[in-house]
Amino acid sequence: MADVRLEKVWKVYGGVVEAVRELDLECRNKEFLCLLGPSGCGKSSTLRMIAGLENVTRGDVYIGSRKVTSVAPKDRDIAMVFENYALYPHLTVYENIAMPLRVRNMSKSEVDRKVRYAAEVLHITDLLGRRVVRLGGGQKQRVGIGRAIVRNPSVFLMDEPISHLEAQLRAQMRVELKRLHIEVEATTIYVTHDQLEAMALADRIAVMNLGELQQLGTPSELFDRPVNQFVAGFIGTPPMNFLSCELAALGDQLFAQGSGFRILLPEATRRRLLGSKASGRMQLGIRPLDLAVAKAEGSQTPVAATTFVYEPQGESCQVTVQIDGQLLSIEADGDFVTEAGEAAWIGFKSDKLHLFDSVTGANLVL
Amino acid sequence: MEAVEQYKHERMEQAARVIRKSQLALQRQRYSILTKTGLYAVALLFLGVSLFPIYLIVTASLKNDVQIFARPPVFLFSPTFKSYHDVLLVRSLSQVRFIVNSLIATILATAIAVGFGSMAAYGLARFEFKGRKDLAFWILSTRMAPPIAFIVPMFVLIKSIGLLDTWWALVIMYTGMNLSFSVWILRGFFMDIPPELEESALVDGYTRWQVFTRIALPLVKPGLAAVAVFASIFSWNEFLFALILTQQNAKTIPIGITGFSSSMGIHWGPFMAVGFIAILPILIFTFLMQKYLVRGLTFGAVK
Repeated sequence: MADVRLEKVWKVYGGVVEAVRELDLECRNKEFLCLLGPSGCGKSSTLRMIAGLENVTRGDVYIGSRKVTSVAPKDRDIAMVFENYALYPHLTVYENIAMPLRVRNMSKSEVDRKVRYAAEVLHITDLLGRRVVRLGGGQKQRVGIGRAIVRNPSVFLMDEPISHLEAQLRAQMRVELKRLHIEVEATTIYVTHDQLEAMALADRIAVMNLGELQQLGTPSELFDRPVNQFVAGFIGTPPMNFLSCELAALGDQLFAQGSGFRILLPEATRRRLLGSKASGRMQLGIRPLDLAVAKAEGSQTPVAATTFVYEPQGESCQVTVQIDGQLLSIEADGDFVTEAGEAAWIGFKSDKLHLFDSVTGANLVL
Repeated sequence: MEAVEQYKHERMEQAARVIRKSQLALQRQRYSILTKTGLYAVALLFLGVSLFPIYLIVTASLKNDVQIFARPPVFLFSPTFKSYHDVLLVRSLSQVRFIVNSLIATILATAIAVGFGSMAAYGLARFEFKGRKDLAFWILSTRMAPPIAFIVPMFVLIKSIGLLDTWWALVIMYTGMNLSFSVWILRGFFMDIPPELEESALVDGYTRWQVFTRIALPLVKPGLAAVAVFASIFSWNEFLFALILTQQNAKTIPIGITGFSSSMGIHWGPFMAVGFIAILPILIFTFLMQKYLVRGLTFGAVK
C-alpha cells in the first residue's frame, strides 16, 4: 500500500483544451478517495494520469515515495477497474482474473491460489468456469474487480465502475465495495459523478469542476462547510436552495434581504461579515431539510410564500414554494398537506444559512 | 463520454431490434408458397448461371478433343487426365513454373500486406502523432489513381533496379497495392476495439507489442481474413503489371493462360485444365476463410 500525490499537475489536450489545471492532490495510505464532479470536470483525466494511460502535460505524480510521472502503467504497481468492465470477451472468468498474474510468470499453483481467493472474496467462485460473454453486468464488474485485487497492488483505481448498473444493483455493489475496502485495506481512488455514491463510499472527497479542484474534505466537511457555491449545490440530495439577496444592517442586527423576504443572520455570521469587505449582491444558501413550512405565519415561519408544487413522498414530502419569483424547495413531514396556489409560510434555520459571493461563488462565512 | 457510450449502446440496441423483427417476419411465413417457389427458382437460376462456366471448364478439362466439340454436347463420359498431364508434365506446355511464380508472388504479397499492414493500421488507430490524418489519407490516396497510368514509369524503375523479370518485382508491386487496402480496412477494425480492453492489459502488465499480438490481433480476425482473401485474389489475378514486368522467368498464371490462345488456334483441353488449376487455389483459400469472411465484411459497417 502507498499514498498517491499529484503536484501541480496539468493536462492539456491539443495545446488548447485544459482538462486539468494545476491540481494538487493527496490520497493517504489506505484511504478511499473519491474524485467527484460533473461530466467533463477532469476527474477521469486525472485518474488516467495517475494510471499512466495519459501523459502529464506539466507537474508530477508520486506513488509512495516514487516519482512515477514517466513510468509505464505496468510498472506503477496499480490496478484499474473500468467503467465498461474491459474483460477479455472469449476467455473464462478464471482466465480473466488469472491474466495479470500469468503475465508476470507466476507459478501455476500460485496463480490458482490467488484467483480462488479473489473469487471467494467477491462471491464468484461458482462462475469461474463460465465464459465472460454469458455474464450479467454486476457479475462482469465483480470479475473486473477480482482481476484488480488478485495482484495486491499499491493503489486501486476505479473509473465509475458501477455507473452502468441498474439502480438496485448499484446500491448492492456500493455496499460490496465498502466492505471490500474495509477487508482489503487498499489505497483506492474512485471516480464518480454521483455524489450519493461518493458520500457513501469515501473517506475523503475531492470535488472538481472545469479542471480545477474545488474542495478536498470528508463527506461531512463538504456537506456542512462547502467552500463555494458549486460544492454546496453539488453535494446533498435534494440540492441546496439559492436565493438572491443583499446584506442590510438595522441597528446592530444584520439581515439577508431579498425580494419578498428578510432573514436575520446569526451573531457569529454578522461578526464574520463585518470584518470582510463583503457587500453587494450575494446568494443565500439553505438546504431543503433546514427549512420549515407552515400554513400560517408563526415565529418559526415568518416569510410569506406561495406553494408552487406539492410532491408527497410517503414519510416525507417535497414542497416547492415561490417567493416573489424565486423558487425554494422544502423537505417537510409526510403529514403536511398543501396544494399549488395555497399560501405557505417559511422558516429558515439560522445556523444552517450559507452566504456565497454572487461573482466568485466563494463561501463568505467560512 | 458516458453520453456517447450511452448513445452508441442505444443505437446498437435499435439495430438489433430491427434485425430481430425482420428475422421474425421471414420466419412467420409471410410469403405465400408461390412467392417462395419463385424466390427459390430465381436463386437457383442465379446459382446456375454463376457456376455453369466452372462446370464447363471442369468437364472440358476432363474430356478429349472429340468429346469437347461433340454436338449434341456429351454429359456422361469417362474422364481422362491427359489435359492435366500435358499441362503439368509435358515440357513444352508446362505451366508449373507459372503456377509457382504466381504462388510465390501472391503468398508473399498477401503475407506482407497483412503482417505489416496490420501493424501500420494499429499505429494509425491507436497512437496520436503529428500528421496522423495526413498519413492515413496519403495511404488511401495511393489507390485513387488507375494503375495503368504507372506502367511506363514502373517499367523504367524496375528495369533500372535490375529486377525486371524477377518475382521480386511482382512482390513489390502487389504489396504496394495491397498495403493501402489492408491498412485502411484494418484501421477501421482496430478502432472498433474498445480502448479500455487494451488499457486494462497495459495496466495489468502487457507491453504494447503483447497487447497488439495477444489482444488486438485476435479480436480483428475477421478483418485479417477479409484482407487476406482480397489481397490474394487481387495478386493472383493481376494481369497488367505481370505482363509488363515479366518476360520469361517470372511469368504468372494469367500470362500463361493467354499463351494458349495463339495464332495457331486454341488447345481447348489443356486450356481448360490450366484454367481450372488457375481458379483452384483461390477457391480453396476462400472456402477456408469463408466463416470469417461474412462477419468481416459487415463488421466494420456497424460503426
